[in-house]
Amino acid sequence: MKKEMGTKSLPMLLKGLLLIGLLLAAACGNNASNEGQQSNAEPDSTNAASNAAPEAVKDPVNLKFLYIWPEYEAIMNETIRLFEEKNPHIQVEPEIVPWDKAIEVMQTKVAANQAPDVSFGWTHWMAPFVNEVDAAMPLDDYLQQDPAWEQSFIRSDLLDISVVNADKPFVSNIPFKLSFQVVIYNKKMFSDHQLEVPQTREQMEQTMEKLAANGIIPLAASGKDGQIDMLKDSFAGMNFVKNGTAQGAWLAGEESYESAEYIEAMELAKQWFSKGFFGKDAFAVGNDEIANLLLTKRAAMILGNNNQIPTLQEQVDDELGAFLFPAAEGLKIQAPLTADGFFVLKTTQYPDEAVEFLKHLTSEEVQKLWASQSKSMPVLQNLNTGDETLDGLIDQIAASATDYPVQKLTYNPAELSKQLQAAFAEYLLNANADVTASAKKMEADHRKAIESSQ
Amino acid sequence: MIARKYTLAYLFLLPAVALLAAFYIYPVLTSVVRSFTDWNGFDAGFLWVGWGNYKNVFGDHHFWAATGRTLRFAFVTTIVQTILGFLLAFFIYTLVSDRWRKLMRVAVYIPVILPGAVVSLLWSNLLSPNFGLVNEVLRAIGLEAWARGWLGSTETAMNTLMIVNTWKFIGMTITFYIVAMLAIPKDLIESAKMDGAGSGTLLWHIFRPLLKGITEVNFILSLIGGLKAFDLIYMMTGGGPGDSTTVLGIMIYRRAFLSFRFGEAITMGIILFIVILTLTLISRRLIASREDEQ
Repeated sequence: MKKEMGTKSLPMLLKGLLLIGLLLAAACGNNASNEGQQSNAEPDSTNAASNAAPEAVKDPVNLKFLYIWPEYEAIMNETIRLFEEKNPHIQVEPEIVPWDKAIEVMQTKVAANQAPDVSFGWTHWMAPFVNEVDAAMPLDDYLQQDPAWEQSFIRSDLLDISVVNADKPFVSNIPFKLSFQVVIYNKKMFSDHQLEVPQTREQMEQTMEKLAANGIIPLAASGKDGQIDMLKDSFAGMNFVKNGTAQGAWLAGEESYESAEYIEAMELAKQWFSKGFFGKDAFAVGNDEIANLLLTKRAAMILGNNNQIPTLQEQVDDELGAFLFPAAEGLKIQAPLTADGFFVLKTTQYPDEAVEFLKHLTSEEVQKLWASQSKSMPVLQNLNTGDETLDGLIDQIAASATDYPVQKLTYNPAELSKQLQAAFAEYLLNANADVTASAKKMEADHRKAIESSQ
Repeated sequence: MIARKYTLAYLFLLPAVALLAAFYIYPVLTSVVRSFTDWNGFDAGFLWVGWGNYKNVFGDHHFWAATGRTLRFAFVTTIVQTILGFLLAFFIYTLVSDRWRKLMRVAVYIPVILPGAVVSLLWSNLLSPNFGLVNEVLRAIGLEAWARGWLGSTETAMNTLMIVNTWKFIGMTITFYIVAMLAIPKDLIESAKMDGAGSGTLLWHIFRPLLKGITEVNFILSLIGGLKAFDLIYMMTGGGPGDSTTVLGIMIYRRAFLSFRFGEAITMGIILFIVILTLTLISRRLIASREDEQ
């Protein structure tokens, strides 16, 4: 009996395995053929098809769209609804990812041939999608075909931020809402101590001296999350501009960390750090705790992001204000103009529709919607939010210098920036550290990163 | 005939073997191959670079510094965890109240099952220089001079992480020891007590030699865990301040996901694997040779 079962079950098992194998092969085959279609489809062929019959009933299009901001899901859904209403043949399929995982998720999707058609990306952080992963579609042609769109942005150099390097000199990202570093301050604490918003870096230093003398953390900043390092870099950038040396190697990010401009910036940052301007134990606190220091009124100012202002304001009774970090005496503010934006993936089968969606996102209607409902800073000219603080910043941005040279790095700075941050932190934390030795250490890592990219 | 006899058995094994091959053996072999390439992690194409990645990694002073920190982290946490775990297990074992014993066994194991992210957030808040409970308690008991940014100084960050890591995983060590202690014949302990053995004597002359096997297991598991440490460190300090807590796990992550040099990151992973394997074999050999001597 047992033997009979064994002889019967063996062929059945083999048939079962064969069937599973066939099903798996079929599934893989379908997948592969779909991927092939997706990745091999030339954007131009689709363009040609869509251009050939503009008046005909358009084929349904499904745009896969990836963005961050789960807190603004309702506004984004409304944005999508407005778009679909105007473009009935297009359906947008959104997907939300956490902001701090956006790049990793996108890279994984690209590697797995599952990239969306339109994705979130920071305008100033497109290198991962242009250099390492050749995934971003150039947008210059679309911008040139629509001059009104191209010229609608708040500052003429805003689009250039997403040009990653000289080898790939194309606009890869369309800004959606401005996102940049600001100084957020407590207006009441300022008035209690008879302080004005500083207009120059020297005035800023005096303001901080006064606050520190009153036992208040003047400008809480996170060493852990690299804010002090960024401040040092902006000091150095200003020094290069001031000395007329922001050219040549500097433009490619290949200037020496042992240069007088960097040394001066490092020393100034250390001077401020040693005076406790950034708060005690600045390297033990992250951005969240920095915000708490402002909310609990232990700090009068914090280094933050403009997008934080509405959320922080809701949590504190005192009125908050914000301003761009002032430039040194005699220099114009160098506004760190960066934005949350979107880009079109090269693999999309629907480049025209994807660009149409980008235009919708940067239309006056949508920008107003986001400004009113989320207090986002619009990227368009002459479009105010009605919020005094945000509009003040918009005016500062619009008036800030556009003629400052912009660096286009020839190498991937990500891991290097961690190494430089580490060396700079060690310099700040060690009272006896020698600035030249620290700069030499940083320069060695800098040179190595440049060499390894060549 | 024998082959026919086992055909069905092999067929039943086939799915498991296929899964193992597809999701374990194949990725491992692919990784070894890709450590000899310049693969960026995303493109299908890559170039063969021979031993280039290994030369780069061995010539990188950051790698050696990170290796030193990793070994320090792993050995200190392992030694502390094993000794402290043994003592705490003995303490729990000797508790008179059965209720307390059970409660303690559950309590010490809770941190083990908590996700690394939760533990990181919990301790980051407790250790916060401005709002943290640890500093508040120190101030309240008159030790204000001791209050500090525990994770913000190059002198204290690594030691603080070791304490948190030990807190999280010591429950596992304790549990293994208690299970092994319960297996020791009661009459042996009773007769030792009748001969006048106190707690110290029991601990040193009865429990320690009889628990050598489990000590070996605990030591090796803790060592492997310490060498692979990543999540707690990444979330609590990100490798800082400075480079003071940048261990190999952090460096591998940065090389892969910040520099996109997956080939080199895999190379570091393989080197870490070899280090773990070597240290494990050495530990086993040392413990085994001591047992032989006795």
